[in-house]
Amino acid sequence: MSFLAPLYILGGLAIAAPIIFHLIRRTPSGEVPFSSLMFLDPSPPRLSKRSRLDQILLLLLRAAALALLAFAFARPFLRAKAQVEANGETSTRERIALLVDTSASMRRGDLWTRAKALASQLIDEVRPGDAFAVFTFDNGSRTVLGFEESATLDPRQRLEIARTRLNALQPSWASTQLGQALVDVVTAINDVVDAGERGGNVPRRVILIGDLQQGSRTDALGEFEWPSDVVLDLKPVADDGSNAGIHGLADAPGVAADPEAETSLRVRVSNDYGTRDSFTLTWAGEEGIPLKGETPTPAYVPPGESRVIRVPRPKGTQARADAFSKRSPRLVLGGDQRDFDNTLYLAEKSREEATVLYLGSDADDKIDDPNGLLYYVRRAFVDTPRRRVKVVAQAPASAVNWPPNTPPALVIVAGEVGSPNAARLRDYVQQGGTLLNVLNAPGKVETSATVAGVPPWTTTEARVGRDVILGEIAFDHPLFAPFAAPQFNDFTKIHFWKYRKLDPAKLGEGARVLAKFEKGDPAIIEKSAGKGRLLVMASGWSPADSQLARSSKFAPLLTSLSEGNGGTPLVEGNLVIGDRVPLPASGVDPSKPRVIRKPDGTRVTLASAETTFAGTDQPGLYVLETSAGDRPFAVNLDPLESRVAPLHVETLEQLGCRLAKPTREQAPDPEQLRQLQNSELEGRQKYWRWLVLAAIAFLIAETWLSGRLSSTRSTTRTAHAEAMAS
Amino acid sequence: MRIKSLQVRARVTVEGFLRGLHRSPYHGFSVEFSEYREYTPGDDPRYLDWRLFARSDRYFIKRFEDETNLRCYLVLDTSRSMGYRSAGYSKGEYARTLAATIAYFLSTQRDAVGLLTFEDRITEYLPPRHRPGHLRRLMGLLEREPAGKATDLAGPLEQIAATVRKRGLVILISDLLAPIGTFQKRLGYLRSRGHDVVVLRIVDPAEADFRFETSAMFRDAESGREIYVDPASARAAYLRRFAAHAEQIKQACVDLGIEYESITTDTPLELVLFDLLKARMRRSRRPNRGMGAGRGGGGAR
Repeated sequence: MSFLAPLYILGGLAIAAPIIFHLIRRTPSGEVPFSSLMFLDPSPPRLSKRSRLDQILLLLLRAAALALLAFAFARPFLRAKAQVEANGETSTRERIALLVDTSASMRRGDLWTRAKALASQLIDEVRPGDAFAVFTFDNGSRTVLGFEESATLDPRQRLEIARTRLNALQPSWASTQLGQALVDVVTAINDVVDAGERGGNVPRRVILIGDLQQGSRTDALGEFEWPSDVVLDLKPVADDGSNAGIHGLADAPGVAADPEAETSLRVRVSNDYGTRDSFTLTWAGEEGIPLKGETPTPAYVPPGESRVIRVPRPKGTQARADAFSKRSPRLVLGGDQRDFDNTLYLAEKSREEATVLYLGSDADDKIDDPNGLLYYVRRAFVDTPRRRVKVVAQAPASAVNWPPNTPPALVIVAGEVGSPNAARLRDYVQQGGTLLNVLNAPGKVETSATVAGVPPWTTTEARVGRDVILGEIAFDHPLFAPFAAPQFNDFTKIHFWKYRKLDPAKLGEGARVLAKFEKGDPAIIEKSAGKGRLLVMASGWSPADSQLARSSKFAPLLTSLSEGNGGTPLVEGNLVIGDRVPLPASGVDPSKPRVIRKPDGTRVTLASAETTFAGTDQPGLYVLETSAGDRPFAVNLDPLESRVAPLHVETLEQLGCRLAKPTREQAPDPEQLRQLQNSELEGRQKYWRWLVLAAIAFLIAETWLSGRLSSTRSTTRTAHAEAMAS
Repeated sequence: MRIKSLQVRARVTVEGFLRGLHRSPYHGFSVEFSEYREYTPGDDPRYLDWRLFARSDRYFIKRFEDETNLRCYLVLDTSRSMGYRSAGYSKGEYARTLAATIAYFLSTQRDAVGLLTFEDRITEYLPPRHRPGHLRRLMGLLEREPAGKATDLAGPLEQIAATVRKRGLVILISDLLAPIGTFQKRLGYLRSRGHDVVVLRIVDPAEADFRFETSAMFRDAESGREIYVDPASARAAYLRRFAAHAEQIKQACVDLGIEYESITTDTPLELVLFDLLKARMRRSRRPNRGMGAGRGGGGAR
């Protein structure tokens, strides 16, 4: 048995105290008040001359408690036992987490090869007694070999497994969330419970292998308190750091359309670091082959700066969005050494031309009659940078026609159009069109019947007292979903003076009432037919019928109807790797699964409940296949990933990371080493806890015993006093 | 001491004693005519004899023998050491009963009695009066419990010497458990002012013989200080010092011609009073430097 602090044994001398106290005869039987002590001197305590000790048991208990305390403070430990446990291996064990950067910037040059070689070398240095795990990170951290799995494996085997798994990895295209990754790994290294350590103080080390670029996001470390016992060991693999990147610029929302947007495109070229300053921007097609006939656009960007460059769109795609998208174009930055971030993918973003066809009796002569319906339809559609809507009006009886492949986005029918037109409209709806039939007068309904494929029926004018409002609205339907929020869902200010009685049963199977009047009569009924849909309104928006046209709901309703067919880009702005892409709710057939085509050709089937797509793991053009057609979107690299200049180590230190000392420490003094071993052994065995517990137990026994003794003494004394009194 | 009321206690003690211990050297307002004196400006016109004026056309002042204006100051120690008791009742109770007895006794013979209680400072002061209700107030003051922390003998004596101009009788009742210090000097002041001074020392029997058996922590009643005392070893020294202290006090009193009486609390009060009166009568018969005890012819009526 050895002691960590043998001097504390001297505390055992305190045993003498209770013995001396026992021997002192001074047993003051309480307190005697006296008028004045002016004639008295304190009597010195006298040692008992008796050779016999009173209360031997009490004395022994007190002495034992003191001796145990002194013994505990001396921190005893068993060397022999510890040596058996150590089993010959060196005592300084470590817990090591290897963290490898797999972000897109690791793709440049031979960084990844070097990183793997460095990782392999570090794995070789792991000793059998160490706890060891491997993690990788880009915009999230992943466990390659966890502590728990590593603990179950044979020491040699686990190193081999770690090496194999690391070799199989490739850098991704994602950005570098260095801060979050460090937080995750430190949490993992602290969470692990190693039975062999018994809570002892094991050094913990996080080894970070990566390019440590300036574009790493470290903000997560700001709120994280770095534990004092975890050391961050940086193993940077870096090249000269020169790089240039290209990034698309989003159109600022709300700003009027860029007048040159149809013919050219604005991109930002940033030159992070290095000696080059002249670059070229070239349009390329699939596989990065430059498009024929396109001249490269020169760009001059001094090192450390970025410039916005206007690049003309490729020939033949200007002003034609579909043509642009079909060629799957990309803009390639030439003149840069590192090509991982030199390609900008673009989905078409040019303005969409949509047509709304209005068939109504007020279309011809009374062009601008505010008492008709058309007057309001013309004013409901506003041109946006994304979309321009043209309203075409014609008399109901005149034959409807439109150019092939460009059907109108919405057809509004007010009145009966005759059977040839009705058949034409039926085909339009079957192929995915939207038809809104406004019943602005009672009578026989033939157009809607033809489109819906049901026999014609007759409507009658409903009896309305003073006015009527909408009572029940299906806010779960895409048409009304934008109004579902409480600040928008007040429809009570829209009064209807007249409406026609509608029976949803007349429209056949699958007709759904989207809105009802307060009396319960249907106001709007929707019926799907083929790929498209038919909506029938029981009342119009002319002032004679209702106030609908003058309410704030009118324009959004019509816009929503006309946009139902899709053809617009999914999102505004630029998407980067790892972004969640919001999926449109409108124009989607819930019964059919949605499929996203990735740039490498793989197809991802989405569950119908999903509202976002999270699988953007490579740059390129993604295509969402919907029933209404393909909707492409481009995903590019995170612009920060282009900033590959090395991160200053001080930045990490400022964020609270404890960095390992760069130089190897001197071999420790053998005496110091022995002391360290001793303290570790003692820390593992912790006999002092049991000794302190025993001392407490002795003290409890002592308290109980002395309490009992004094109570029996006082009872005998009282009994004696009573006997004397009687 | 089973009688609670101090007044009744005092009366019980006094009953049966002779009245009229002294004659006053002052002329006062009394029934017993003494002499006529010619009026001089400044005399109280109340005492003019108008009948004589009517008869003789001369102003004369009527003078009476004054029996009632002995001014007696009871100076009572109420420090906490007076609260000590070994059996029966405490020194404080004994002293208060004694003071009440004397006050009652004097008031029955129409003397003015005042009271001054002190501990380390003067706590109560009631000037000597002879009025209805005065005795009751005095008794009320006496019934308060002692609360003082220390005893200072010099202060109260100096105060009496400074404030009381008229000669009178000063009866100091205390255990005198304080360093002698300037005690003798202050008594000297009183004597030099012409006061008649009586020192009654109240001592508990336990203080006198220190018959404690077991060693214990002895706590000072006044300061609260505790010391460990083994009576077996400390007794001899205590008795020696106690006796020396008492001797010092006694010697001081004898030097100044002051009557000194040490009374243990187990002595019956009647005996104490009797001894006191006997001693005073003895003193009043012989020529005295003091004036308080009245004229030579004073005695029991």
